[in-house]
Amino acid sequence: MTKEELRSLLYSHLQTAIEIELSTIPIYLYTYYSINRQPQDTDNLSNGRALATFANKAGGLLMSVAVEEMLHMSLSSNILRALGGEPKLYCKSPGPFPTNLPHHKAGSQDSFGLEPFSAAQLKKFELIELPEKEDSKPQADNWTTIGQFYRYIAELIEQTDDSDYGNDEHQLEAHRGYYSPNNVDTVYPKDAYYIKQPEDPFDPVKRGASQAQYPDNRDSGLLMKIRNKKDALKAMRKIMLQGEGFQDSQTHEEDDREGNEQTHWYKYEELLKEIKAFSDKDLQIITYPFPSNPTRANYPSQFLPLVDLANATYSYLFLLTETAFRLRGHAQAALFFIGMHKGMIFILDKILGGMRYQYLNNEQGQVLAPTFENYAFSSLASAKKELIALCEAVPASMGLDSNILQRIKDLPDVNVGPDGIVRF
Amino acid sequence: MSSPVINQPRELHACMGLNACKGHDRLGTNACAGSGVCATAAAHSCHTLNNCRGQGGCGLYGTGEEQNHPGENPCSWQGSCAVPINAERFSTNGPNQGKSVWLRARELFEQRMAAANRQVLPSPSAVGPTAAWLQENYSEDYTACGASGMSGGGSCI
Repeated sequence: MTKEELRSLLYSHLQTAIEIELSTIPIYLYTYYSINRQPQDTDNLSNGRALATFANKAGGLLMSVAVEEMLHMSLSSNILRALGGEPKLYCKSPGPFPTNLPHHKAGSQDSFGLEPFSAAQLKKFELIELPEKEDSKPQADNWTTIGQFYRYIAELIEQTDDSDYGNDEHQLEAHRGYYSPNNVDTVYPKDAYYIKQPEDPFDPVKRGASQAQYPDNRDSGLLMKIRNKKDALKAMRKIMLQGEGFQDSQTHEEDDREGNEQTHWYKYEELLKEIKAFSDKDLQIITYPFPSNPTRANYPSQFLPLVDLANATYSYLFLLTETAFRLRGHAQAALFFIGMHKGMIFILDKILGGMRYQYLNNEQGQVLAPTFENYAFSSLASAKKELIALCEAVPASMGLDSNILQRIKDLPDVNVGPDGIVRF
Repeated sequence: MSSPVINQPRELHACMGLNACKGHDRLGTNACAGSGVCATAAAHSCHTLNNCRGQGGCGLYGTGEEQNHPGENPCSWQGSCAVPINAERFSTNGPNQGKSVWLRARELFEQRMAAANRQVLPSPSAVGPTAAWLQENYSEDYTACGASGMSGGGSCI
């Protein structure tokens, strides 16, 4: 194979890898937002304590996986960037749902939808993270497991030389706070009813801190720059280990030899075992009545301003990320660190969380839920203005957090001019 | 509670007991550095929402390094968490993981003051303001971040 052919194959397959990781984000987040992590109606139930604890744990574990998928997306993007390619993220969210993951073996078992939290959805998540069998072969297309697809990419990377790698400055690097494990949304309490215990006035932290469970290792959120073939292979291995664990493992429980962090697959396996203790009626108490695979087209018109804002914010965050790979240094940090964190945690999270309080007034008693559809802005130059206009168009009746508009105005403008200065 | 008119610019600080100057807490009545009752930094509920250097809280989002420096963020929009800092809040990452954010902020404040050859008075509370105190005395809508509720300040979704 010539160098050009190898490069072309790597560009194509790394872009697929990026889109695979990207695809899991709306699927996981949709189910995450369907969980009520602090249910108020469990006190009168004999299993109320266990149910409330399970709800918070499920939310914590799902969010911990979703954050790592974002990390994997960036690691694959760094590899592509290092090889001279440019990752495409904007308007690459999959749909309509249910959908196959990119280049996944087609079949009814292997399509994934936007579904509320349930045992069935957890089983689907396990399929996404399915560990490969020990004797399985790498696969370029119609892959059975993500691991086999990544091993195919790793085989291509083995054929590269260190001289093929560059674009150091345009990659997202570690130690800039771009990804951090163990935040207040991934952590969960050992016993949700800890909050009912009296607080020690001399040590108010003790009540919560003694209960906190941290799903991730302190170093699991580390991005890395790809400077050579060894780095590229290390990054691929990190993605595979965090998803499915060691190929020779019997349990696929751990993604590190120290045994400090569970794989994505095992987190779902654990939740699947625990969910069996609860009835459908129990689960109704800890989940919001989300529809299955909602689309903008199927919602009544009065909800569309909020749905459009959610989709536009979701798309803007990918636009910020994609643009960040064309910048470097402080400009990149401004766009990614400030834009993504502010955008993801304090804008999108609040919009999606708030949507759940809008009833659709349909027969099923369902609530408004995100559709995670791509929103195409008219241009890079107008994207931020359009986002602001969409926010201003949301009527007060939708109960949008009053802080959201200013936070959107404070976002970095993705249209970075020739002077390289990021404006807000 | 109403604030007295303060003509000179106020130092903006993140919480009770973290003020650098006499008369520079929210009420304008504190006698000395370290004894202010309440934050003067613009209240914000989370990571990257602070307006200026040193006005970020900490503890719930951000890297281990960020979370180890509450109230010491180097610039606008680089704080790690909500202001004011409720007493129940613990760091979720880094060297301060599982420990009080407020106590760490106070420790750093005292180090800064010592480095500037300044004396400080004890804080009105040795452990910081509880969420209940903040809701009663600062704002009934006070919340910190996080869907898990583990910030001790409720949840903001």
